[in-house]
Amino acid sequence: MKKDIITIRNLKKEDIFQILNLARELEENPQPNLLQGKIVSTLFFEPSTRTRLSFISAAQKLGALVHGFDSKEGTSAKKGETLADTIKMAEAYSDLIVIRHFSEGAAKLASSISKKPVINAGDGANQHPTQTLLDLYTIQKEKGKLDNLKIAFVGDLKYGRTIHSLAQAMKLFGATMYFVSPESLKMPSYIIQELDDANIAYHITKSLTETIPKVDIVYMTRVQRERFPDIEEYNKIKDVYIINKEKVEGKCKPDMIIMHPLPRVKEISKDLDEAPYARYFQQAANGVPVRQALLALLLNKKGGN
Amino acid sequence: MMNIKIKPIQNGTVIDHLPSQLIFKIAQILDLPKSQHVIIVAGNLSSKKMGKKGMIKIEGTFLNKKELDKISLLAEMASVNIIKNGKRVEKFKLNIPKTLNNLAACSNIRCITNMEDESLDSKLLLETGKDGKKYYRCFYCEKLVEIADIKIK
Repeated sequence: MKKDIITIRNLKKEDIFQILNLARELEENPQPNLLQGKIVSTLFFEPSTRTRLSFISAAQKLGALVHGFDSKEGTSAKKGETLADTIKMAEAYSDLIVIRHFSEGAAKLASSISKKPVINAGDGANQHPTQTLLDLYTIQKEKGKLDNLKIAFVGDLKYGRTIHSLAQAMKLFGATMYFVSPESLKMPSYIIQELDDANIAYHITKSLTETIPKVDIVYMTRVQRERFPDIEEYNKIKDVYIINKEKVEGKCKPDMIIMHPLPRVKEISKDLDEAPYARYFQQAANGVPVRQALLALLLNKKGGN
Repeated sequence: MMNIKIKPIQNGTVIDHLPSQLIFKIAQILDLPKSQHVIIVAGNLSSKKMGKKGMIKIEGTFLNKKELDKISLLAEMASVNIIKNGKRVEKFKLNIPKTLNNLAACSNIRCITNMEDESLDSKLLLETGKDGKKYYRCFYCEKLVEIADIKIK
């Protein structure tokens, strides 16, 4: 059966471990010819820097060819072509489709049309499963395990798809979660419901400083001004959800790590970039081996000759 | 409450045990205002089970699955009687459908099924939560839709 990566909700623990193990294998033993002769389509209807470049890099490191576009402009979608028609075309031209789209459910639509495997590289505010997998890879690499960790999610928990997917994934590993956000950007109720159903312990709080000493991981996100109808409300809270050396040093667990899906703006002070806690740039770099593993698995090349 | 006798029909459908406040809404979604048949819409009838109930009788009309599915989303407790030659030949309870194919829009405005240019049918799948509560999940965007919030197309 054709495999796709559309949502983290469909992945079981053993699927995740299979992906992470293969990512490690490919990172340690590069296989430049594994996907020789394969063509990967990257259909990015919405701009992206890290995700698109790391997919291209991952495909090329395995010897695949890549074609595609990086915005809706200049494509036939601009002329009114339906996504379904664009997918049929990409299916005919390539062996695997990577899609990012502004509409939620777009990747699922693509996977139900295409006979070739589809990877969701982000569908609106819904899912971004490859980001979650690279987050898990980073956590496993840095902490030596995924089970029973304490993780704080900080900032915009309402609109951040990265946050939603990672919380859904960490649920499988019995994490204790801290949701640190202003009232207007709190975690959506459907995620809370899923955590309740899975009997997961979580804490909802407005205080970052009180949370920092308790956790193994602080996962930061950007609080965007445009999310606030009222500029005064934004000004009131914007500094509360910033992390810096002062808030961390001598207060956190010595092996605490800070992650961020990037791009960061001010929410992580530059004075932390060289601190032992910072992992956000490694996290971004981990996108390449994880996406290599996904391409290899979906194209039925498990690696290891 | 007054006990009145509602005239029987000869051939057609009786939808019984409706919540009284929903009778006009159900008549609307079944497009009854446009029907040329005899229609009886009754509310606030006394009922042993429900206290008060509503009922709709439609002469000369047998509802299809899609119409029954629509009623079940609004009034899961309703029962349907099929009348032929003045006699009830069939009676059944409604079941909430497992899949809603283009019957109700996804409530997420950013869902691909709500993008006009894509002209894509909506598809909602029934799920049951741990607490036994039923709800629908969009096949495409995964968002949950409460049955009470379903907007029938």
